Amino acid sequence: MATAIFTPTTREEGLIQELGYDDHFHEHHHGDKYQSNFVSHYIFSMDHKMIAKQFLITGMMWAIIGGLMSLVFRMQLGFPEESLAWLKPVLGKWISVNADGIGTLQEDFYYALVTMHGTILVFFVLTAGLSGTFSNMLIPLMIGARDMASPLLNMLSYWFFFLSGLVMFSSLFLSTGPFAGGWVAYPPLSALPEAMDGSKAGMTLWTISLVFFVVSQLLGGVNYITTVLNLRTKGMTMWRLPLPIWAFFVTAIIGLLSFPVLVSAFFLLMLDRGIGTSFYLSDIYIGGQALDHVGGSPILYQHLFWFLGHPEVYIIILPAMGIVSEVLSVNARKPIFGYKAMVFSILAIAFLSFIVWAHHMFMSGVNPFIANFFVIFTLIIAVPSAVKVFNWIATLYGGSIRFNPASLFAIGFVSMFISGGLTGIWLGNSTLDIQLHDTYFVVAHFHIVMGVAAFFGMYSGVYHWFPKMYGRFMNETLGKFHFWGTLIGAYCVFWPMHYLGMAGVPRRYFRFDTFETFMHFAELNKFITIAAIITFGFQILFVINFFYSIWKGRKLTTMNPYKANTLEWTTPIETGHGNWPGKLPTVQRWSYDYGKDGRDFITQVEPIGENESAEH
Amino acid sequence: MSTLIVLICIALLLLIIVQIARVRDLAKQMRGEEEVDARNTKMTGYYLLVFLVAFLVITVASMVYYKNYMLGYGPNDSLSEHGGLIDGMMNLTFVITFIVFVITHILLFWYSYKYRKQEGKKAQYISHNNTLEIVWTGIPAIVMTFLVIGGLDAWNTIMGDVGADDDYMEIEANGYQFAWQLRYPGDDGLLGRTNFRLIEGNNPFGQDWTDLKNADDIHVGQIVLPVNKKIRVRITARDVLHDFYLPQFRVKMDAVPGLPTFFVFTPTKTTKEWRKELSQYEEYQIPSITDPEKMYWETANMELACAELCGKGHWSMKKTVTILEEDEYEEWLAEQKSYYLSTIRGTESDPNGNILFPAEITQRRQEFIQEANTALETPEDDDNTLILKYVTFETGSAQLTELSSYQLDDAINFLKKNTDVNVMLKGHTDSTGDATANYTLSERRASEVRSYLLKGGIDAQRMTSAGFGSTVPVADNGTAEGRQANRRTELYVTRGELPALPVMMDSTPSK
Repeated sequence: MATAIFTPTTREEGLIQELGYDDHFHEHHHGDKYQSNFVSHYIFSMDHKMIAKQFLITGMMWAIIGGLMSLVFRMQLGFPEESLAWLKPVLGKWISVNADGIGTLQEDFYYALVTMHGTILVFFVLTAGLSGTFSNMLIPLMIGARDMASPLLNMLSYWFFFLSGLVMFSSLFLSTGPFAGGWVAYPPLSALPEAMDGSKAGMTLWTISLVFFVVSQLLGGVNYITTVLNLRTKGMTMWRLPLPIWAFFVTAIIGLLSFPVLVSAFFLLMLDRGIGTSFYLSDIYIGGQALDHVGGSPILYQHLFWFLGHPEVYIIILPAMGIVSEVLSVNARKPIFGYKAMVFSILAIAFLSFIVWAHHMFMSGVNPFIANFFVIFTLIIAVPSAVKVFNWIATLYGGSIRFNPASLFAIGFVSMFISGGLTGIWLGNSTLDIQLHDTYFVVAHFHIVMGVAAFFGMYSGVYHWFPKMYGRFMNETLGKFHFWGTLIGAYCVFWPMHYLGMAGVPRRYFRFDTFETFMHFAELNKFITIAAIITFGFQILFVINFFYSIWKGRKLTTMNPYKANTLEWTTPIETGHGNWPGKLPTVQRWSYDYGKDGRDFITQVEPIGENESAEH
Repeated sequence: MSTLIVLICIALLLLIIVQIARVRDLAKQMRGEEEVDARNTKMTGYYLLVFLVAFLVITVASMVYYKNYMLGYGPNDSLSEHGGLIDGMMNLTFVITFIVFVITHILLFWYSYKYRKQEGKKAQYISHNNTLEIVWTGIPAIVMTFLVIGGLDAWNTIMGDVGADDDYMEIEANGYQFAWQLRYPGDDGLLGRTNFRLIEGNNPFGQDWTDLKNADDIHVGQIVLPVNKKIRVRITARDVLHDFYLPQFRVKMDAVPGLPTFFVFTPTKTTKEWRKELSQYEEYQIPSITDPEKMYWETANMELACAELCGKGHWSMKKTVTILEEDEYEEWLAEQKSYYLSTIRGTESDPNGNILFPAEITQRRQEFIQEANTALETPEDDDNTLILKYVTFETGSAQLTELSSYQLDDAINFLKKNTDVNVMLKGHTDSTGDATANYTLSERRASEVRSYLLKGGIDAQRMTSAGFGSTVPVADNGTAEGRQANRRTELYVTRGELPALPVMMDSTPSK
């Protein structure tokens, strides 16, 4: 094998053979012992591409579960009088059926659903499913590496995520129900089993699950950072990295710095729950007795939580931004506009994300004075964010845009990011937050800007790189259906919530008819629920398309179907372990030479021509 | 069954969509990709334009439709002094962000349409433009500066605490699972000290009764406040986090166990004025939910809600808020009773047995005058004796306690007013101790009272005093309460002759 001669079939392969870097890959990996049987190939795989697929499919499963949960509580909010008895076979005792056969959702379980929906979507879907999938898939392929720096840690990263999911899933079956105190898990509610049923065993499993999750994130993060820093192929300088890699790299750094703080917050919470310490608890009278805890502060937890919690939203959105930048550029047949500005704005956002956490806490009882700093830093984030938006729009300008599901979702992402980002300027201003805090305005804001937008980024990436994952295309017509249904549906679900929020309707209410102030919106809530159900239906189309296309999709016939510049399209259609069959490619230029000198595209492995300017 | 049918229908629908999609992709390959692609691209470009127009139109239309629910507008106008700052800031932010929203969306979708892939058109190679980058970094930065300055100016005005010489009223709102309870300071204007360890059934705030500031504190069922008065709400929580939220007043602040927070605001409209304003809006011209006889605006209430997830009853923590004119408020306040005096005073939980409150003294004085007058009007022998309930002595001595004076002063006033009335002071003890000693003590005590009245200017001729020891008990000497009742000084009043003094009897105490 070591002496096998590789015959290039394309120009790129030829260039790699000619100019590439020989790391004697085949001499080291004789017989590819990594993937010799079913278990080591599909389950305990150490191949980054397989691990990426594992993250993606696990994330999709969680998205379906989390999405269905939201439909159940949307039913409660939109149709509070409607019988939910038909859900009894699935939800069991969480639906109580009265003598007339009318089934109602238990309050406890309503809050459990809201909490689980948030936890699952934020952590399992938009963190693991998005960043986990694409960081794994694209980092080695785009920087010209054989695999991650540590394939073993990479595998462990997935399996800790899996374990975390298993623990969380099992908490759904507890007799006292899963945790129900909101995904932020503020103590004392989360610390005291007396405070609600969900804070009993459900909370214990919730914290254990999330600690495993953080372990998974850290293992992944260390790996991503090391890989990007050390395994870039010859010629791949930092300034030649495609934008998704910059995004994944910075995301991993943010995660590495902030997730440990979350774990320490959880550890202190566990101590308060388990052995009677008082980090977060003081002066509490509950269940007919005064507790012994004194001297703690619930606000300490909020500081620690949001020290992760705020960077977390950038952990979610930065990878989506990176993906969108790449997809827009490839499909507009133009370089991404302002590459360096894009990189600097990613870095600026990442830096600022660490010094804005208390904008979640303007109304939490912290000294109003500190809001002065956090308002300033928060609103400054609007500047790099605006730069990114303008650059995306400028990338479209003068392009020759191909409309496929990937590029449509990328355009949709920009729309969502604008709509949701602008309301961030409202909420980041502490004065407005007095009225808007914890209302539906917040729900509308973060769902659009980091929920829907991140999903759009993820869809864009899946449609775009599906051929690289499975050697087949996803069905384009279904993809477009999916896009229009999701774009219109998501706006129908979340846009009206702005009006609810401005009218003062608080979030996390089980029903709205107790208050005269909040009861005006029965029709609007019905509309939102119906829109949510339909939008969810469109996501099922995506799932069908995804699995159908894995086996039956149109086959990929060329290595570089999109005529893209990046390295992943220089690998064979059936990309084996090690990614490049022979030498590693040597990078000669940045990744965005689209339309340069009248040429449609110039791959990164092509040397700068004699009459060509190296400038861009 | 119907569920099954619905599920089957959905499955069929999905199947149909999938089939159509398959056929379209196959057809595309057969007909030639280029041609189909060109047509699809054109159509998608149009769709994007249609979406843009529809999106903007619906956005504006829905804003117009829901204008009455937007902040600072119509019926949703703020009802507090600082609310205008928030609403003004919000409107400014709204205008700025809406302009950006419209411009960026038009550019995004217009460029997508205009620069779609077309036969014979090539993409331009534009990689960057530093001038543009500086412009669109600078403009947002400048706009943000204005928003930050405006926002923080308003914020620091709103969130400031009351000043030292402000005229304000402090109330406490305490959140627990799942309700708010409210405490007003009473006449002294001060809220008394609380301690969570003191919370129990009859002390829901954990008020420390030894702190006399608590004595006049009032517990109220709903929030009632005077208009145009600065209110400082002390916000506390008993178990988990809650959030004191008055949507109409733009007031919101977490209630944190162990860390009292506050919010200062000034209501600017009475409930009556507000309701009248609501009457001009269509959505309030519907029958009221609480009273079908009336229109909604006639019964509309401002409300207090909880805005921090606190457990399964989070959505139900409602109180109504009523804003009254100053005089109406005073009237309402006069009807409220001190929680301590009406519920705790004199019970086992009361640590203040040795302290009298002015209100109590007033009440006792009124009682005494009434009793004395009744005694005079019913000149039967038995009835014209009244017990000087609040005249007490130091243990084992004839020394009057300090607290006895106001009732003795009342007796003096009474005698001065009714100059034809003569009195006899009768001392009694309980049965503990030596009978003779008791007899002497009772005599000395009665005489001590007589001297007090004498000093008060009552003619000696009108008064006699006598001691009865433990011979005339009114209650069982076997219990502490009984003994306390038996230790007493009685005032016998008559318009006629006083009875003869009792003869010194033998020392055998009556049982």
